[in-house]
Amino acid sequence: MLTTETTAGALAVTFLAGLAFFFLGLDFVKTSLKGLANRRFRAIITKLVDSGPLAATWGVLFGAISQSATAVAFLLVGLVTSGLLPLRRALTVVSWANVGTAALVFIAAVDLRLATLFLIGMSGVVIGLGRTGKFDPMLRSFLGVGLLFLGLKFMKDATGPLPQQAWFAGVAESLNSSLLLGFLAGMLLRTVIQSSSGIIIVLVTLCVHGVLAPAQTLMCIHGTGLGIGLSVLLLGSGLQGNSRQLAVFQALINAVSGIVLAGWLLAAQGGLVPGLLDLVGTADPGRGLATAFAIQQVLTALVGTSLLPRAPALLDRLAPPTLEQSLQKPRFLDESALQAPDVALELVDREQRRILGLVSGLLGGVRSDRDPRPGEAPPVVARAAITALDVEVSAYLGELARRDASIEARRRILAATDRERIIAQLATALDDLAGVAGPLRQDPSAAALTTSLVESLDTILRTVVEVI
Amino acid sequence: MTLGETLACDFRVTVVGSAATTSGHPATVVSLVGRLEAGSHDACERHFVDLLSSGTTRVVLDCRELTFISSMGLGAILRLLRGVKPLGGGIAVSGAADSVRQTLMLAGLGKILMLEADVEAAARRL
Repeated sequence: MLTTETTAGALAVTFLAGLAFFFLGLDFVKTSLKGLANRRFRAIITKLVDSGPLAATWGVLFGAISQSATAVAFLLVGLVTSGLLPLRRALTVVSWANVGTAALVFIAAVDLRLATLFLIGMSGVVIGLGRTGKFDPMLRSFLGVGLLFLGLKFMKDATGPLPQQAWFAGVAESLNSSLLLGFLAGMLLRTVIQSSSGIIIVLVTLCVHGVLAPAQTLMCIHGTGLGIGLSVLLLGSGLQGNSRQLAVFQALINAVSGIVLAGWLLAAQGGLVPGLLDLVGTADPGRGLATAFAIQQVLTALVGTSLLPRAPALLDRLAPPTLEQSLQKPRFLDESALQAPDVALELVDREQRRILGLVSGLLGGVRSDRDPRPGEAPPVVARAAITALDVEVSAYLGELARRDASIEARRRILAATDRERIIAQLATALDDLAGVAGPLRQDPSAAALTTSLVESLDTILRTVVEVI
Repeated sequence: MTLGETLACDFRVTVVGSAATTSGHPATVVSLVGRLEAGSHDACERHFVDLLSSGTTRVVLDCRELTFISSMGLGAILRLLRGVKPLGGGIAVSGAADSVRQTLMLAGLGKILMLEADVEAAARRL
């Protein structure tokens, strides 16, 4: 238990441990969700957030449960990275998760400690006993979620005693001297404390007890918007591609809403516009500040929603998807096309042609070109993409086979399934060949023949891809 | 750089003249020098497109000084072949070194590209 007497060193170590648990949990979730990446699970997730309003509703709910939109963003990172959730839907969920966090300022905060420990205990014990079977990825996700929340809890515990520290009271006093200082303090607090609702509750308490003036408290609250942005960017600094896109989006929309409302507060102080607290119209400063925070979160969600049409393109520029992520995601397979077998089979054809195009990349490590081939993935990346796409295409064909289809369509499904198997075998054979050809190229007596073999085989592969 | 010559790093493609064929239509003789691979196939392909645009249908590729050909280079030659074939033309390869010849044979292109020892013999196959 961390108390007022706890030393700064102990707080720092606790915070560090929390950060480690957070990253460990995040890694668990990401890795295990890839194992859950089957079509059925994706269908459930896709259905849950099938439309904008549904995604927004789930976002509010996730935000309310987790008490941190940042946690929601990082949980969705795993879903987006493993291709379970389209980026645009994930952005909607994240936008509205911010609103969910505000709800908890009004109601008593749900203590997730027991649920977190239960999640870790239950999943950890079952995994430890080695009897997970097909539920292994799901249990590992639970363990990851548990560790993630445990990390957040540690970080909150480590920073919770701050307001009780004597030096902090001095800081609070100096905050009243400048609105800008209030904004910076809110930003800093939210950067290190991983719960907006926790901070707001502390700030409101300080205001109610007369430590902070209402305007300063409000400025602190607005500062948390930019703090969320910084926090997400710091925690997501090691991320790439879709994961980073989600982090950047969360950072961006929170920063915009925080800055806009801070500007409004300054304008209100100058008498240019009515103040937010005046508009809320309540004599109770606690309720007024909580409502102001809710307004900030709704504005965040609205900024996010309004950015949605342009967000994917903008985020592609700010944080381009990694080559691995781009290649591993099916480009043509579409759930809705499963209703029309002819269309679905045409999409499978295109996806298989795309996979065949990647197959040639498996020989990349043993070819003799001095320059890299434009647009070609490195062999390891190509292999991972072929494996991932093979799983997707096979599952798609399996789903198609379960549906009613004409005899002709069934014949084509069988042919496509055979073709997929042959492509997978071809990839394995080429992988094996590359493994053998590598050492042979070092042997002067075999180098010339090996080079000719590799180049001629590659020519045949490329010709096949070009003509089919 | 002379007319009809395209340069890339470690590679040069040049129209060096023409040779008599048995069909009566002269063949354009193109010399390939150096390494035809990922870094140079683009330049080679551009040159081939120019050849096709000028109405050339019979081509002898003089490969005496071609030291290496990768699948990318072979792809460029095959695309040229796809361009001249429908017009009744063809491609013959002359003087290829053992390593280049071996690659062409293993890719199953030995007969399609008509490998010969010298330019005159290659032209007579067109």
